[in-house]
Amino acid sequence: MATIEYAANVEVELSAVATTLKIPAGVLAGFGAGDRFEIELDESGPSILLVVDGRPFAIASVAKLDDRLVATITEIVSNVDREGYEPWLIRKSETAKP
Amino acid sequence: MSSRTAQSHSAPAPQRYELWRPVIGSEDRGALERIHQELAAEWSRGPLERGDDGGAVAFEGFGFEDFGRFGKTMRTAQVAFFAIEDTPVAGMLMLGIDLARDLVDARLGAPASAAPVAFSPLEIGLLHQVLNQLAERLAEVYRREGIGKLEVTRVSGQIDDLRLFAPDDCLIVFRFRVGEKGSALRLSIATGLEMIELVKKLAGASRPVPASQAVARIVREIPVRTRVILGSWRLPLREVAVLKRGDSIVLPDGADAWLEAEGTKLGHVKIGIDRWQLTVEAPSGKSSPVR
Repeated sequence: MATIEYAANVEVELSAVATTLKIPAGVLAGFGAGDRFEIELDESGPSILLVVDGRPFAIASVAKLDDRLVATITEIVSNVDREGYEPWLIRKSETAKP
Repeated sequence: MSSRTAQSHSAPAPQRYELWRPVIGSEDRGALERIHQELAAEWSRGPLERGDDGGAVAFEGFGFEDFGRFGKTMRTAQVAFFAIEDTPVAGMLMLGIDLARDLVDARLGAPASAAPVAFSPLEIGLLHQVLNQLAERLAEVYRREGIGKLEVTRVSGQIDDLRLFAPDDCLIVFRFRVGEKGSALRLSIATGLEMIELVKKLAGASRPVPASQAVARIVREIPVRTRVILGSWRLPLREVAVLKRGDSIVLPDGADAWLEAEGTKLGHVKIGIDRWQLTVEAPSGKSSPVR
């Protein structure tokens, strides 16, 4: 802890990233009420990426415990380029205009 | 204005369709027709005005002809050659023989000639004056319509005087009639096909630029790195620094998540997580911006 003692009280933002997608700008712009992205999960199940001020920090598995989402850190990420992209499927709302 | 019959006018006979003739889109055709209808109105108000309807100029349309054939069918008294500055467009403004004779007779107070006869130097001088006045109006209309600055380069009695065009060159020919339908009093403008390109540019400037549509399509296809954020917290570095494998954090339930594209926060979404699937849904109703 000695290495950051001087800055220990500095506040940073820790975010839980459920997934990262590459989405064409046009699809993103047209993402409207009721539309849904669906991302299939692999065998390892749901996980999140913890990022500190936008920089990947740790990977955590996610489970529901007593109706609460709980993330358990499985890996501290040293490689900031680790974040990949997930394949996705978009389902447009039936009421949405084509 | 005397009532000469159409028997001697120089309108071309119908031609069979030839594949080499240029194609012009309806929008460009419409622009050319409108510009030359305006020109006809200008000429009616100006150099050819008579006080009655006798000097009314009507635009009869335009077509394509090769210069060789055009030179044989056009019975021209005087020609003003012109060029449009900073463009490859060159052309001719032509006064038909019948119209020239009619103008001379009317201005000199002579009775209408039974048949066209050779013009005297005085009459030719008068015709040059009329041609220059017509060219001034033509230049004014072309300038106003954005075609460019027209300069008369020479006035002559021969259409091949400057050897501006080769016999095989295809021209775009605009035909005008002075007086009532059937009148033989004719005016024509002939230019190279570059005129079409000029008008295309003008039409392009007034309509949404196709290039911008192409850019919009490219922009729509740009892949945007988008993070789906369940939630975030502000905490001191000392708490981050002690996080280790196996530690657990209670996460927000996903009802108030958001999308973040390339660092910019977008609207709220609702996240659903189960064993096999993650869903990201835009809420119904107006999405609220994330602050």
